[in-house]
Amino acid sequence: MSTVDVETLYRDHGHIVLRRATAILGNVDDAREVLQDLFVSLVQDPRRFRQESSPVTFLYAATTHRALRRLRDRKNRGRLLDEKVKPELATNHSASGEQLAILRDVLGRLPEHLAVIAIYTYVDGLSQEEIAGILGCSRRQVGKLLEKFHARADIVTHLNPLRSLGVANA
Amino acid sequence: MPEKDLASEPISDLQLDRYLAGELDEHAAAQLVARLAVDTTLKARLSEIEAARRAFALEAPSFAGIVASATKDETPGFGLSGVFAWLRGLAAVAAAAGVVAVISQTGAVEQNRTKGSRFLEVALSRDGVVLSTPSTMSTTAPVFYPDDLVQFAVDAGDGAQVAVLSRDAEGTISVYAPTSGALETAQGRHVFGNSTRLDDVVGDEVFVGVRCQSAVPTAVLKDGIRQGLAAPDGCEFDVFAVRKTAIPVPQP
Repeated sequence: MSTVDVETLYRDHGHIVLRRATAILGNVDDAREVLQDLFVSLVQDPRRFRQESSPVTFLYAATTHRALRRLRDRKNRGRLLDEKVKPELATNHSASGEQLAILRDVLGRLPEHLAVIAIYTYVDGLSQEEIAGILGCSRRQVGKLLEKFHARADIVTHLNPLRSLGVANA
Repeated sequence: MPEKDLASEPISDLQLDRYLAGELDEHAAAQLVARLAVDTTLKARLSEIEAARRAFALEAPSFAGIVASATKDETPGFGLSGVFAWLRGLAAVAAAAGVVAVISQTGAVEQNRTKGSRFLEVALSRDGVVLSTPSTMSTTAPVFYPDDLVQFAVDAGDGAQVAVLSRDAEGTISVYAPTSGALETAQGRHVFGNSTRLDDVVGDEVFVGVRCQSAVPTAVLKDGIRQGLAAPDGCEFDVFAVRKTAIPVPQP
């Protein structure tokens, strides 16, 4: 993959990265940094996209990984909560804002492979078969990871409200 | 990846993105089209995604800037407030690397600032390398070349309608930012998300930062620029003059 190919990928599909990162992070400024971070890494090493999957599927996975990394950054997570969630809670005492904060916080604390499964399942609404296609594993493995996620997180009740917030469709 | 049955199962954004990218196989694409014909919610979602794609095409930072960032091993942010920080960072790296990054001070084009405080900032990127982010005006005009990329920021103070226009050497007046072509509401330091690639009209050109108390038609602003850079009532102009020359041919 050449720099020209990366540029084509950026022009044609950059909007997917931006939209998806915004959905996961809830913050367009952070999402823009994910967008740049991802494409800078591709320019530096185009082999990251081995073309074993389609461009869209690859970008979904790469965006999830990088957005999660930002959530896992303790400093960043604290900033997200302070800047975005606390003001929302101050003006809107509905449970959704609090649940959103809890979910993002929990996703940042979970092992990445479990957080990824949670995002694909509950934020994206993907089937286990689709997730298996993205991750390059079996549907059975996805099911097992989802069970582990439920056991570790115990936050399932907070996930549907996340979708109702429009995060899944942001 | 295996295609799911799009005739009956829920359709995710992933499937819509793959459809728009032409990645679905013929059967799956036909199923999705059939669903779109009867599912207004799905159709609306597809329209949202298409709108986001169009907005990205218009407003996303240039890829050249990203390449420049990669070659300098930097991954700075480029949110609205980060564009200029990013450019400044690159300028510093370029200077450290010994890149000749001087905007020639030739000619004596007077900088016209009609009134009020200075509020327009101009950043220049050439061939993927940031050459300068002139934050102060000099008494001579910097030299710009066709194909240079320029980006703008303005200080909107407590709140204003802002834009950046240009008058080139042939007298053509264009709106450089925002891409909508109309004034944009802003507060504080406001970086326009788009960059402008300069055309090949050489000669003296001015970038005109506009700050208005209320929305003013761009036709009125253009008239003011045409008539001696006179800002209409309720507006301020901040003018940055440059001299645009043909790209010099290296001498053997």
